[in-house]
Parts: sequence; C-alpha cells; structure tokens
Amino acid sequence: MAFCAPGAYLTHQQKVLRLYKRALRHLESWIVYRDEYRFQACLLRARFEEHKNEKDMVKATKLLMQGEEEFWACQHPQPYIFPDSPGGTSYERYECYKVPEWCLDYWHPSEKAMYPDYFAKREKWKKLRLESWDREVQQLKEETPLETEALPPARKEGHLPPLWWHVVTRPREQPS
Amino acid sequence: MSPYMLLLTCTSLLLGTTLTLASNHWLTAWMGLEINTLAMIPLMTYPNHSRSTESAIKYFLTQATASMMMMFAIIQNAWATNQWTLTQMSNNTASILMTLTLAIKLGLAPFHFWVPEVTQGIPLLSGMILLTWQKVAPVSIMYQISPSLNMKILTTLAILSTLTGGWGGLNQTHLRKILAYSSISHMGWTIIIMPINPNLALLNLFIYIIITTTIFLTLNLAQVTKIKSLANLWNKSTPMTMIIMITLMSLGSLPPLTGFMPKWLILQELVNNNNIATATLMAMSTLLNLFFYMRIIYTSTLTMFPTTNNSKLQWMYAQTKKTTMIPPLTVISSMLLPLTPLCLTLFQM
Amino acid sequence: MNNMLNTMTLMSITTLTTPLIINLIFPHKTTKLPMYYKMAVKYAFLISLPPLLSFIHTGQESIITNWKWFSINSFNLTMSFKLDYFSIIFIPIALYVTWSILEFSQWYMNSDPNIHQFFKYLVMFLLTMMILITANNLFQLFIGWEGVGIMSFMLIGWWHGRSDANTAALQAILYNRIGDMGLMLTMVWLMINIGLWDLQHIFMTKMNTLALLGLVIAATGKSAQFGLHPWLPSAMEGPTPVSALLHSSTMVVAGVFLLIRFYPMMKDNNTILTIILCMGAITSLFAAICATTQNDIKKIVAFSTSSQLGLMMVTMGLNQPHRTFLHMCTHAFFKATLFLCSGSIIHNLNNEQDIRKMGGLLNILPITSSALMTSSLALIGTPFLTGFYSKDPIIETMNMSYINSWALTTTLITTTLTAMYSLRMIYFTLLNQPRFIPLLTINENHPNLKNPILRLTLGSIFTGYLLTMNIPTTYMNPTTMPPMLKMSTLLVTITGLLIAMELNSLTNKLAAPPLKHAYNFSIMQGYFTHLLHRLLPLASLQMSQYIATMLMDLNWYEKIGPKNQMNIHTTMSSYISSTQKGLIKTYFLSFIISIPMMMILAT
Repeated sequence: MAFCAPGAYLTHQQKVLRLYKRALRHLESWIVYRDEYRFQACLLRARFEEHKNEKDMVKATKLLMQGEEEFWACQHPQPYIFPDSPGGTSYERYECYKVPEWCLDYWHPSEKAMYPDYFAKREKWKKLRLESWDREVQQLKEETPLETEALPPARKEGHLPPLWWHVVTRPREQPS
Repeated sequence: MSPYMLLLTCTSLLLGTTLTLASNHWLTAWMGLEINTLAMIPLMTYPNHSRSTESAIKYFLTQATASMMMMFAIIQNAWATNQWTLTQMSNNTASILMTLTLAIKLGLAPFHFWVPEVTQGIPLLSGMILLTWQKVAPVSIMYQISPSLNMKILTTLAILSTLTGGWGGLNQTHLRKILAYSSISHMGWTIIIMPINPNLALLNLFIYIIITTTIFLTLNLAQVTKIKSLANLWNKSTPMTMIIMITLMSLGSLPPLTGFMPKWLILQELVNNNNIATATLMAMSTLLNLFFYMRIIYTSTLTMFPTTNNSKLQWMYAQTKKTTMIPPLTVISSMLLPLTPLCLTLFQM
Repeated sequence: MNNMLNTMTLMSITTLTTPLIINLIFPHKTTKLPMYYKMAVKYAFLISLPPLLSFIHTGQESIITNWKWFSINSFNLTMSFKLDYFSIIFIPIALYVTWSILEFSQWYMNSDPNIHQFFKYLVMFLLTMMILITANNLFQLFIGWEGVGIMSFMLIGWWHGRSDANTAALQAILYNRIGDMGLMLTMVWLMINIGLWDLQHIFMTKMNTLALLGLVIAATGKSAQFGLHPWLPSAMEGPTPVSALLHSSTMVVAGVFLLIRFYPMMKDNNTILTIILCMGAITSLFAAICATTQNDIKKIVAFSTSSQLGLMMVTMGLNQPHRTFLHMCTHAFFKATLFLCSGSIIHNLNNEQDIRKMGGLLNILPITSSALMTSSLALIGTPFLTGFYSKDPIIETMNMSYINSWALTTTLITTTLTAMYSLRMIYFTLLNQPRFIPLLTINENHPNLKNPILRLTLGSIFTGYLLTMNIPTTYMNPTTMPPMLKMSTLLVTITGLLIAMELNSLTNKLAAPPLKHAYNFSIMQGYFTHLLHRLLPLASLQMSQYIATMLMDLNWYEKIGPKNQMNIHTTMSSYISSTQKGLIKTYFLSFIISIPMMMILAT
C-alpha cells in the first residue's frame, strides 16, 4: 500500500501532496475514461488550490484531516496498480530468474576474462566501497541517536523534532 | 578386635542364623535369632567410637524388643495349640504378633525407623552384614510359617515399606542411608509375595543380597559414604564406576539385568492372583528408588565433577584392599536374567 | 473393433509420456522439447479420435484390466481403465484443448528460460487428468486426483519468486486438501463397508449419505464450489496458459467429473442431490456477482468459470449427469478460448491485466477480438453457438422440473449476470478508445498465437452442435413447454445485456453511496477471503494456544504431571526424613502404636 508511508516523518506539505496524488490515482480507478477523468481531476485540483495559501496551521491541519476522511470514504476498493509496482500482477514475477549480484565475485577467472571492461570497473568499485565504508557508517552513527529510541533530533537550531507534529495531529483510527 | 574374638563373633553370627534355619522347634529358632543378634553387636562396634556404639545400642534395643515379642507370640501359640513345632503357627493372634515381630526384625515400614539410623552409624562391612545376612533368619521363619500369615497385614506392610523406602531415600546424601531405605523397599517386595508364592520371596531376597553385597564391597573399596565423595570414584578406580552403575541399575531392576528377574516374577504372580492394583502401586513406588539410584549413578559415573588438582592421582597407587569377590558378584548381580528358569527351579525346592 | 478401442485409447495416453521419457534420458537437450510436447499431445489427440468415432458408431464401451498391483485378503487393486461414454468423449476434447494451449504457450512463454519445464508440467498435468478420467478403481482415480492437485500447485506457483504466486499455490493445494479429505472419507467408507474399490462393483452396491457427502466435499474442493472457492481466483497468479488448462479441461472439472462418475450412486439420494443443487446455485450466483465488477481480466474469466461450475453442479443436482457432462465438454472449448484471448491481450499489452487500461483492441487485435466475442457469446448461450446446446437444455430442464424453485431462480439470475459480465469484459477490452500506453508494439501475427485461438474458436462454435447431433443420450428430448418458458433463457440473457450497458456507464462516476456497498461486496469478492482467511486461522491458533498453555502446560505439566509429582514426592520425602530424628523414643512409639492397631484391625 503506497499510502502507508510513515506519516510521522512527513511534513505537512508532503502529507498534502501525497493525499493529492492518492486521490488522483483513486479517481482514475473510478473513472475509466480519460476525458471524464481529466475533467474530474481538474475539479480536484481546484479544491486543493483553493486552500493553497492557508497560513494558519491549525486550520490547515483540520483541512487535511477532512481531506483524508473524504478520501477514505470515497476510495476505490481495488485501485489500479501498475503491473510492476508492489501488489501488481507482474510484480516480482521474474524474481526467480534473478541471480544475486555478489555471485559475480565467484565467477571463474576465465569467465571473468570474457568481460574485461566490466570486471576492471567492478574491481575499482569494490575498492571504493571499502574505502568509503567507514565514512558511511560514521555518518549513520552520527544521525542515529544510540542511547535512546527517542525522536531523531532536529537538524537545525530552533527547529522542532520532526515527530511532534504527528503526535499532536494523530488522525483517528477510523473516520466516523 | 583380636582375631580370636573376630572368629568367635563371626562363627556365632553364622551359626546363629544356621540354627534358626535348621530348627523345627520354636525355642531353638528363637535361640538362633538371639545368638545372631548378640554376635552382631561386637561387629557393629568394631572400630569403636560413639556413633557405632549408639547404633549398636539402638540395634540391641529394637532386636531385644522384637525377641521378647517373638517369645510372647511363641508362648501364646504353645498355650493355645499345645505344641512348639515351628511350622504350626495356627493361632491367629500369635500369627499376627509373629508377623509384626518379624517385621520389626526385617525393618518393615511402620517399624523401619531403626534401619537407616543403625546403618548410618556402623562401618560399611558391618552395614553390609546388617542389611543382608541379618535378613536371612527372619525371612526363613516367615517362609516356614507362610501358610498361616495374615495377607492383609503383609500387604499393608509391604506397600508401606516400598513407599517409605522410595520416599525416604529421595533426599538422602548418605550412601548407607540410601542403601538402608533401598533395603526397606526390597523387604517390602519380599513380603508382598510371601503369602502367595514364598519361593519367589526367597529368590527376591537372594538376589537382593547379592546385589547389595556387590555395592557394599565396591563402596568399601573406595571407602565412600557420601554421594559427594562418589564423584571421586573414577580417580580411585575407574572400573568401579561402571560396576556401580550396572549394579545400581540392577538394584533398580532395569530389564536386562538380574534385578529385573524377581520383580518381574513377583509382578506376574501378583497379577495372576488378581492383585493388579497392588502390583501397579509396587511397581510405581519402585520408580522412586530408581530415581535415587540414578542420582548416585549420575554422580559416580555419568559426570565428572570439578576437583582440586592434588586429588587427581590416586589411581596410580596400588590397591591395598582385595577385590576378589567384586567381579563374580558383579557378573551374578547383572547377568542372571537369562538364567531365570534355572533360578526358578532352584528355589522351587 | 474392441481391440482398436482399447489399444488406441491406451496408445494416446502412452504417447503423452514419450516426451517425458525423452526428457528423462536427455535432460539437457531442451531446445526442441516444447515442440515435442506439443506434437505428442497433437498425435495423442489424433490417435484418440478413432475410438471416439467407433464409440459414436457402435456405442461400444470397454474396461481394460491389465496388471494386478496387489491384493490384501479379498481386496484387489488392479491397474484398470474404464473406457465408457464419459472418458471416450472427454479424452479427445481434453487433448484438443491442451494441444491448442501448448501451442499458444510456445508463443506466450517464449522468453521463459525454463519453458521446457513448463511444458513438462502442463503435460504431466494433462496426464494425471487422463488417469483420473479413465480410472476404473478408486485408487487409480486418487492417483490422478492428487496428481492434478500437485501439478496445479507447481504450475500456479510457476513464478516462484513472486510471493503472491506462492500464496496462491499454497491456497490452491490447501483448499484442495480439504476436498481430498472428502474423497478419502468415501474411499475409507467403501473399504470398510464394501471392501471394493472397483467402480463397476461399487455401482452394484449402495452408498449411504455420509459416503456420498465425502464425494460432494471432494467435488467442492476440486471444483471450487462456494466455501472452498477462494483458491480459484487466486490461481490466476499462474501464467495464462496454466489458467486456460486449469479451467478448461483439467483440475476444476475433475470435481464435477467425480460426481458424474458416481451419479449411479447418487441418483436415488435426495439429500445429496439437494445439497449439490443448492451449493451449485449459490456458487454460480456468488461467482457471477463477483465477476460483474472485477477489473482484472483473468479474474473475470476465473469467476465465470466458477459460475459455470456452479451451473454444472446445479445440473448434477437436477440428476442430469449427461447434461452436466455435455456442459463440461462445451465449457472446455469456450473457456480455453477466453483464456487464450486474454493471454494474447495481456501479453500484447506488456503484462497489463486491468481492463480499465485496455480498450479499443477491436481494431488492433482483430482475431483475438473476434475469438473473444465468439467465445463470450458462446458462454452466454447465444443460440447455435456451443454454449447454447448445453446451457439451454439445462435451464429448460430446470424450468420444467419441480425441484427447488429458489435454486432455479438463482440460476436464472446467474444467467443474467453471465451476460452482464461477459458484455462488460468485451466493452472494456475491445470497444471505445484505447487507454493503454501508446508505445507498445502490438501484433498477432505469430502462427503460434493465431492458430490455437482460431482452432479453439471453431471448437466453441461447432462442438455443441457436433456433440449433440452425434452422441446418443445427448439428443435434446423434445419437451413441450409454453413459449415464455422456452424463451426465458434468451430473455434473461438479453435483460442482462441491457443492464450491463447501464452498468458500464456507471464507470464514469464515483460510486453513489447506496450502490457503493453492493459494489464493494462484489469487487472484494464478498469479503470472503478477508474474513475467512483471518478469522479461521485466528480461531484455530487461539484454540491451539489455549490447549497448549491451559491443557498441556498448566493442567498436565503443572497440575497433574511432572510438577505435581515433584510436589508430592518432595513433601512425602521430607516428611519421612523429618521423622528420622535419631531418637529411640520414635522406634518404640511406632511399635506401641502400630502393633496394637494392627492386632485390633486384623483380628
């Protein structure tokens, strides 16, 4: 389910945009023909545009909640999913024929010799990976608070931690 | 103890029992028991210290009480039936009293209190005699008067004995006490079959004596009296750990070993006589015995406990004690099961 | 003549095994194997024709018994083939359909690295179905039955890298397992009460309701009747040729075939007939309702199969095994065609299965489109196409019967719905403007695509006529009925078409609230899987947890078993040791108390 993104980490803007996209997709699932769909999509867009410049966060949050509720009530039970997307009809279909990438390391030298360019490049990449590994881990460590499982800290001075908003504006489990 | 004295006591011990076995008159039988008891006491006090003296006194008091009651029973019988023949215990009161007296002598359940405590206080070899040879005379008397024994009393005594023997041994750490409790439950097995098939009782006693002798000799070799000290047995003599394991399993009557034979036959005989409930109860309570034998086996054979370094070299030194009797006894106490038919014939008399 | 019938039928079965043996001997020469498989099936079909003709000519039936497996006391198991009306007619049909499907697979699965294995599975699938059809004893039938189940498992899970496919395969085999319980129940019942597994001997005896109920359960599982149906739409996870084979001539019809085989036992048992009738009616109605709103083209066809299977069951419930069989045969043709057409569309649209993204294919894929329309019309029961010859008599018989008016009404509604979903599928896939990505290179020039579809389309036009004209006991018995009843099938179908037109216009709107619940019920397949696949496992898991924790852990281990033993023995043991105080007083106390007590009690 695409719309199950971890809401806690999203900004208000992201939430509205995702709602809009979701609404469009479900609208498309309901209304099969393109012409009719375009018309309805414009109407939908207009409804979002109407409150584009809303500055009051309380009001904006309420609007977002109303939007989510309306979406929940009007969603399509079987939304269209692209065949290759998760949940689609050919998603993971050819997974069984894929070979893991590390298997290339175990090729016989004679086999490797057939693709000299690629394997030369591959050796370079591997070296690079080894060199940058410590740096990546270091970066990860810095950004992850080790001691607690508390909220990740704000990136800049004076900002609020990203999760507070989710706590404050937690939507109801099921709209009535 | 001077050798002459030892010779005298041992001879009296043997001859006392023999007198009981051979006599047909109640007075001589009683006399044999008395001689036997009196001869036992110097043996119990041989390394003379307070514990063994205490044990000897306890033993003397219980045995004396038992003898008095026995004499009472005999006289009661003589008074009622006007004869002193051993096999003619036809008076009911006398018969019950005689049963109870012999129960005291054998250390059966409600009268079992003296057995563990007396055994605990005396040296291993005296303990061995106490738990084996001393049972022969009472059992032989019981065997001879078995037709007139009271079945209800014997069954009660037997079941109580097996249960007490099982439960009592469960939280003991002293080997002599454990063997004493084991003796209590085996005596229970012996007398449960006494009124039904006395020959089997003799067979059971015989095999019990053999197995217990083996264990006592093995323990005597290592001079251990506690389970904890058994953990060092491998250090003194490694083959002994195996012997202890096999004999204890035989004592716990596991199937391919000798100990299984009498239990098997007794259970069969009980079931044939419609005593299924009794048989089940007996068999189940023997499991308790098996449990504490297994504990001994576990300590002596199956694990090696951490020990200090300086205790690790005893196997290098030559044994001073004779081990002549241990191998044949081990063989008899573990491999007799295939000879069951032979044993049965032997004891059918 | 007898020799020819036996020999050629066995030969056609044996022919199927030749490529399998070739594969065994040369496991690495796989390039030409798909073609071998196809040729083998083709020749097997050709070989199986003479027996069919001889049967049509003389009506001769036969039983071949050629090898004794083993016998336990009086219970004999032999390898034995029953070549009767049902098997002689169905074998060529199954082979014909499979031949086309295999040829189509050569095109459809062209890019698959393991295509030879795919073909092997398909042929083994067919082979087990043949064993099932020709089996003359229950053991052989069971081999075929289980073989069909296992091969369907392998084929539905063909894309085993895909978790949905694995789930679907598991679902299929698990639901079938429930059905197998039923068959085993019957087999065990027969073994106990009759001691025979040979069909001709069984038919001489009587079976009670329990044993027949076992058969009904078996058919419910295999033929995806209501209650055990969810695996059928899920089975659409398999490649399209698999779906085609699964739904036309193997697997799902095996259940119906089992009932047809055992109809002599069932025809006198009203309870069983009513159960079958009602179950069939519910299935067909439910599946048709679900099919009406599905958006996945394969799911629509799958539900239509389910609905048709329900109709077959209804016919069994009407005690008309020959009509059931006829519908089974004709259904094989148009259902295979429908699947091959949807396969062609799906493959051409680059794996797109959603009918909302199709449209306008009428001009781009003319052969597929005409085949799709023809077979849909045949499915609806348009006069003088194949479906008409089997479906019309069924509904007529039903209208003339006195049995269960509820079931009859339900079936009529189903007929309406059949027209509705068929038209909806045609409308969305073939008509109007295209809604797919314009970049696709769509064509249907490959002979491996064209020929099988055309061949099967011909089949779905003419088979009904040929079968009813040539085969005894399927002639339509002239019945007398008012014109309204005679026309009822056509009328409800036309009603369905009209409703469908109205329904399709709804697709340009957001669903209105009162309609929405009905729509959701239909599109979510009655919430059946959503409820049952969660509630039942939850219930059984909870029950097992309770049993494990309460009964086993608490009651047995703690209160009765080891823990309690430990408590008893510790208490008793410490009690006994605590009496040992080393005091002579206790010894004599025990004497003083015990001896008089025993003296009193014993004397």
